[in-house]
Amino acid sequence: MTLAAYRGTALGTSMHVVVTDPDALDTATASVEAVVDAIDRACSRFRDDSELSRLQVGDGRREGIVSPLLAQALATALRAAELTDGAVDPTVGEAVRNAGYSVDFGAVPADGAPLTLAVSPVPGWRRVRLFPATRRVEIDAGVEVDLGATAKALASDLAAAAALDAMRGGGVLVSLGGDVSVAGEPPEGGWHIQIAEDSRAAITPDGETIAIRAGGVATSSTTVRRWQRGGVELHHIIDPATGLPAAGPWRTVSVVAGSCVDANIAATAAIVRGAEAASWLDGAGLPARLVDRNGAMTRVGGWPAPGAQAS
Amino acid sequence: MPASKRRITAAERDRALRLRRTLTMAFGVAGAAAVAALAVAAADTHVGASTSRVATSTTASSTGTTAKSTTPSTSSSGTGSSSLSTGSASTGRSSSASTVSGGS
Repeated sequence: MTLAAYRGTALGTSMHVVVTDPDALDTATASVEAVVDAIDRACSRFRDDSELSRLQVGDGRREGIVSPLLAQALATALRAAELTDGAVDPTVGEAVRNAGYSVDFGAVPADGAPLTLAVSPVPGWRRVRLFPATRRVEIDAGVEVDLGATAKALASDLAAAAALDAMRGGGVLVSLGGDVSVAGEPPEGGWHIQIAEDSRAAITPDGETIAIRAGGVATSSTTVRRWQRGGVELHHIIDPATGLPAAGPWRTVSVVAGSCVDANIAATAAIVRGAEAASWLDGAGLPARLVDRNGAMTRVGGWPAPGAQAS
Repeated sequence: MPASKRRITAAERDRALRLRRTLTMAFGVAGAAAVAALAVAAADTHVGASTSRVATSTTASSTGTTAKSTTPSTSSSGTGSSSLSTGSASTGRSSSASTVSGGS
């Protein structure tokens, strides 16, 4: 089977669209771009004109009726917080901004003057309320929502589904910055996905590669979106308990799940949860690959052993 | 003296929805209607579980892709499930790799 692929950029990162029917590539790509653009306009915290930014204008308690897409993104973020006991929390907005990630990452200076950061838990996801029937949202005073942890993965899932629907058959893979979602009929042997620290890495002959037939794969890492302030390394995954970049033993975690969103939630939560993450993932039946700060790998939940790589 | 009103809990909502499904299977639409009020109340209980059905069915119009639901066919995203959905992986071939999953 011949696969066809489009490679571009979106949401400040890479975008890959791969289809099993080459004639459907343009249709699939257009569908993916439409979804990604809609997510950006709804959820970006780097655009003053995004729906989320406009919702959060002001210092006091904010409230309003949001679009179906922003409601879904908020629901996804709040579900992530609930399922991870707050390890993945959308109220990290102020904390990640204070750590220096206040603009699109491409514009964040790689180095800068020292920062003074205090250990302070984030406000907590229960201070954001969504009423699904009316799509009404209430955000308490002092709470800054950042949907970055889950919105990109949600975009991958929605984009893959939209592309499949537009293609009227076949199979499609969508990757947004390494958050991979597949839909439809997979190619023979499944979708082969190489796992790396950095989604920008080139595919290599000896790179660890897995195959999936449905769902998604996501990788969270502290090694890519990094910057220095006063010589101290910082990254974008905030531990809600401290309001500071997570300081656990894992630098990169990849997870396979029934959706890209769920894979992303688990991978990000694992970085935050630290030492107990491996047993948590294993207990949840989630195939996962964890890389510690020294590069040592732990595989749990049925993740294929590297020695079993097919040639 | 009338009982004081309170918002239903997530557990009560889940029980109501399970009951509605059971009644739907047993008695059809009429059975489901008997607990419709509970389901409506459940929709406003809190976030997550009951959220996505509403949001998902209307997402497509906001993205301009299709009138059909855009819920991923194999996904629990936005379905409000109370646990993370599991997946499976097998060994792959680097020569067949379509993309890379890594940090970004």
